[in-house]
Amino acid sequence: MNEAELQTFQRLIRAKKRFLIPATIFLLVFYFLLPVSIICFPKVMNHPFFFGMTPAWAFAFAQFAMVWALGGLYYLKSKTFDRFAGQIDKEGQSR
Amino acid sequence: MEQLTIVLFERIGMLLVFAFMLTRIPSFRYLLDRELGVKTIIYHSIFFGIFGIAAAQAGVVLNSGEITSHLWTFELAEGQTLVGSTLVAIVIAGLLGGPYVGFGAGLIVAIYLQFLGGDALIANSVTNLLAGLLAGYTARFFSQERVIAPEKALFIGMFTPILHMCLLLVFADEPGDAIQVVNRIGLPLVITNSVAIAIFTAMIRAALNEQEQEAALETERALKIAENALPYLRKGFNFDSARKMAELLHSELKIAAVSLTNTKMVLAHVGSGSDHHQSGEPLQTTLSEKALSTGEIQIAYEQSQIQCSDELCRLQAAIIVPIRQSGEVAGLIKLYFRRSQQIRAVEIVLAQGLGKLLSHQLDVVAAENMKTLIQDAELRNLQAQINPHFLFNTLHSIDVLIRVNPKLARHLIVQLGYFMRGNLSLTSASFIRLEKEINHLRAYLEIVRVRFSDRLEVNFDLEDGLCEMLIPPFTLQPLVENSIKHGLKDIEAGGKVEIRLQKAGRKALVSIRDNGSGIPESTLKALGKRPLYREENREKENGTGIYNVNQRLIGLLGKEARLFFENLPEGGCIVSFQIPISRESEVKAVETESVDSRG
Amino acid sequence: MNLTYFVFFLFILGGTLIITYWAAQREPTTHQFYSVSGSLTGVQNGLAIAGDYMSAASFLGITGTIALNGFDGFFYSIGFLVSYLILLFLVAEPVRRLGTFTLGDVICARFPEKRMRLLTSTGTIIISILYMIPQLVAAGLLIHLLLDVQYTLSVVIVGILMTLYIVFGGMMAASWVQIVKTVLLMGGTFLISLIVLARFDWDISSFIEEVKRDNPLGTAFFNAGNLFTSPLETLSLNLTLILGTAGLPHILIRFFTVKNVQAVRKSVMTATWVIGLFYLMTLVLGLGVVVFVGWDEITAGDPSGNLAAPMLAYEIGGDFLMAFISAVAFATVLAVVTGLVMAATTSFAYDFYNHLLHDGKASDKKQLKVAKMAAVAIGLISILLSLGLKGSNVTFLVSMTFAVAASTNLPLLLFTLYWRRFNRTGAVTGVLTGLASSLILAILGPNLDAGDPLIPLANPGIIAISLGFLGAVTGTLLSREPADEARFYRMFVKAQTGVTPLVEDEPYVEGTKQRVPGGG
Repeated sequence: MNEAELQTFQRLIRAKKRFLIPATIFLLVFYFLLPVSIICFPKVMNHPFFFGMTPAWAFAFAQFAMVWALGGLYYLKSKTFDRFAGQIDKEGQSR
Repeated sequence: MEQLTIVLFERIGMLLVFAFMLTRIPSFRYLLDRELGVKTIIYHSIFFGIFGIAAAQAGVVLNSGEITSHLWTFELAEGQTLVGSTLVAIVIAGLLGGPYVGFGAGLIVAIYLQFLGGDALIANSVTNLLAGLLAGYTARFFSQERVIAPEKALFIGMFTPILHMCLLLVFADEPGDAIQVVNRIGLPLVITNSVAIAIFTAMIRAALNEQEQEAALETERALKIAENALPYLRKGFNFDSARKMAELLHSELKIAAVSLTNTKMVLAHVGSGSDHHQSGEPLQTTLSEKALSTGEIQIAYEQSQIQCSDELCRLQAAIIVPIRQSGEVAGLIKLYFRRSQQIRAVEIVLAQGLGKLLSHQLDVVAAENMKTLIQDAELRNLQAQINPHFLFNTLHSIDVLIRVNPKLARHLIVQLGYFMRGNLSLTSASFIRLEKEINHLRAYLEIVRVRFSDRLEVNFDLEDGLCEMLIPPFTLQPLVENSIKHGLKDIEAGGKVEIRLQKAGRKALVSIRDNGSGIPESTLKALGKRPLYREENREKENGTGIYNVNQRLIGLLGKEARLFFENLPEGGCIVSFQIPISRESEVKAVETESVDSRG
Repeated sequence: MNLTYFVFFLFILGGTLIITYWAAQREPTTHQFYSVSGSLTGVQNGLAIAGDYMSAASFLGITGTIALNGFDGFFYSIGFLVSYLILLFLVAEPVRRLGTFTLGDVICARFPEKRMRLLTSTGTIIISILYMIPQLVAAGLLIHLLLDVQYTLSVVIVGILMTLYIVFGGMMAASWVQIVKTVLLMGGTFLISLIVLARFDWDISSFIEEVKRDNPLGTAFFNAGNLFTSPLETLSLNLTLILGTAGLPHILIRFFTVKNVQAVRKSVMTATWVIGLFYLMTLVLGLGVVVFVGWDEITAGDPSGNLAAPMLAYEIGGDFLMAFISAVAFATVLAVVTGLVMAATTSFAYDFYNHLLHDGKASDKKQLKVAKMAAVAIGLISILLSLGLKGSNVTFLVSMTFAVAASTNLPLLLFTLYWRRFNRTGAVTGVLTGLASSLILAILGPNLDAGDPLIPLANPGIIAISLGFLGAVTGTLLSREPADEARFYRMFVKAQTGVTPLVEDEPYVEGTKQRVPGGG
């Protein structure tokens, strides 16, 4: 790998880390918060607060929204990643 | 349930008869061109919409559980449901014409249903609207074929009635009644609809196949002609090759007669009327001239346009196709017919295609000739060059010898003279007599022998009666030089090179064997296949020499004549090839031909 | 057997066999057999992944669990879905970039050794067969209950069909069976949800009120905590669900059937949408069951509530709809088991036969022959095991497979892809501890009737997965084997970009220009 490639690669990895690490942590926290909150605060979670909907249900549906939103975000972000990868490929060939 | 199934099948049978007649209408086939404009979408939607209405009428009326069948139903009362096959028409519209046509047809049927009235109006309408759309998308998703396979259609076709039944349940006022209706009509509809759709697609495929096979046949014929014509085209347009081409066209196209001309005269005429249409006649018709000047295809529909001298000539119509070479019209192909009605669109297109194909072939031939010419020129150039190292070394040897052994020095000078003369004189022909080649080789060997007197022993074994055979010039010497230079480079004494020419049937087997270090495994494969270069001095060395020899052998005598390299188990290597034994007289023709084409 | 059922089953049978026949027409190359020559589009593959994933356990099991337990049944749906993000973020793309046909390729991109291939191949085959058993057992029960065919016969029919698809159609048949199944399943559940909602005039709140009235739990039905009472149990289940998917070999090999990484991404995205929407619809179905079928009726047919969905179909659409839904369930089972046979077959023929026995040089023809024989053998083994394990608890087996996958394949994959220091010893210890702990814990758990269980966790995931990861870490740190940084680096670059970096001292790389010395 030459200098230019290496730099692009490091930029790619930094960009990936910047997105993936927070996103993965967020997803795990968000996901486990549901069972944890139900275990810790069963009363609150099962108390209807909005048109008879309990927080537990709202949170559960939010999980679906979270999956689609994070997935969509990644899908958009990955276009940048692809550009980096394509650049590296080109730099490698230009030798 | 069984009764309903049978009744529906009977009704759908009628519909299929109607559909079969539709497939016989030629314009119906345009439907299958997938690229549809807005206009055609509307047109076909209406077409299938009407078909759908007919299918609705082909259904039975379900009146509170009673099945009644009429020829035509104008209005449905409360509690009556029309169990028809509208979905068959709409799904087919979707499968063949795509989602938009499907939707359009569904829309028309849905509107019609509004007039008809009856129960479950919303469910029926929505189903009809959705079915075509979904069928269209499904067909695109699951099938790359132009017309979906009947098996797949059968499978897809079963789901629209299911959709229909589910929507009946969704929009039911009385769930209990709806369930009963669904249980009653669901299965019969699934079976009859899917079977009908499958049969219909099978029908369309059959209709299309007829047409496509015809087209495929024509294409195949054109390609076959182009392929078979290639050898004749290679020889250029002369009387002989034109005659053979004309015979080929005549037998392949099965038409009354075929003429081939160059820009000035008829070269060949085969078929009917050959008694007065004769080769060598100058071109005279206005249409021919027009074809020559414009380069476009001309069609004579009347005998007068052919301007035949014989009034009784049976050739009444003709297609005149110009053939181009490097952009210029080089000649004409005339296809003659007995009646002008025999000229269909197919013939014209075929003729046009043929003209183009043959023109391309001619260009290819020209390009090939050009390429071999260039290669030849390059090769001759290379051959004429004598390796300067060789020259210097020889001169050095002479220099040394002049003092020590003037006689030998003189001999060496004479041999060098022979060798160099050979280099110059041998280059003009593609083939020379073996004798000449061997003389050249001998001169070379003499020089080498003097120079490497103690290190090298050369054995020359020539079987009798081979001297007259022909061989490409500069074949043996580079190979021997290679053996001496590379095979023996590390050997101080006792190097041996053995050259052997033997007869083997109609072929001559040539082998050159040395007892040197052999060929490195890595080089062995590439030898002769591409030019090899030496790293150290980046100078064209014998790697290119061997490559040249190999290329020339293959180019002139075919793949069988290529070089074989092999390391010998006892050390050293052997280079061998075989060439057919041919005499000067046989090759002469080819020789002059190729010289001509160069001129 | 009712004629309607019979016709619908015939249609499914016919449809899948047509697909297989169509797939069998393709050129018989290993590339085609293992991965459809990478010819699927992202959306098609997404549908196939969904089809591979949404088992009968999801469709029938979750509907039943929601009908019986309300909110807690929904936990499964959420876990199954969210796991796709892990797959998308961390695993899918690197796997595609490093591998050709199997997980073994991916691991060998970093540790090019036969030992490692054997390890992953064995893991793949074990997990696939483990997962196949509950699917076949469920299929047997389902067909038995719906069509009144004997359990043995039903298992044999499904087993033979799945083997047929793979033997004759390979990955192509598997993929299209899965795609068709997804379309059918989504269409079927969507239509039933519509009918259910239509019966309440599209008024969701009155629907919910009705649900509350019709079940013995009353309002508490909608509260969390009906099924999972132990906190540790809940967490363990959630952990297993979210981590299991990324270790399932039959899902992972689906990424080799598309042409590039972009398509992989698109397939995962499509799959999450399809699966998410599907689980939302099963919620409607589950609640519909409560209203239309009734609490007592659900458990009457099958105590675990597996027949809830077909029963709902019968109540709202009669025989016709029930036959349709049963056929859909049948297709569902077929698609999943076919995917599993495919994963095991590929691993055997490609990893084991081609790479381990023939150094990757076995001819296409031989590989295909072995693959077909392997498919038959795997089909046979699975049928026999399923017949032997007739009475076993399906849910237990499913969650155990997820636990095995999450505690063996996932640590192996994640550490291989991302941990610089990871080495072969770590890989071996990780896989072995993961496998051993998940199996032993499952056996010691409360699922098998052995009186007082040693470990009270029905789902041992939380312990087994931790042990799997821990085993890999410990093995790595304790071994003296130095980490091969250069190789990690090369693998890492390729996994992240798809570019193979050229290393200067490399002896020979295909496609590089080499100068050949001249002369003879």
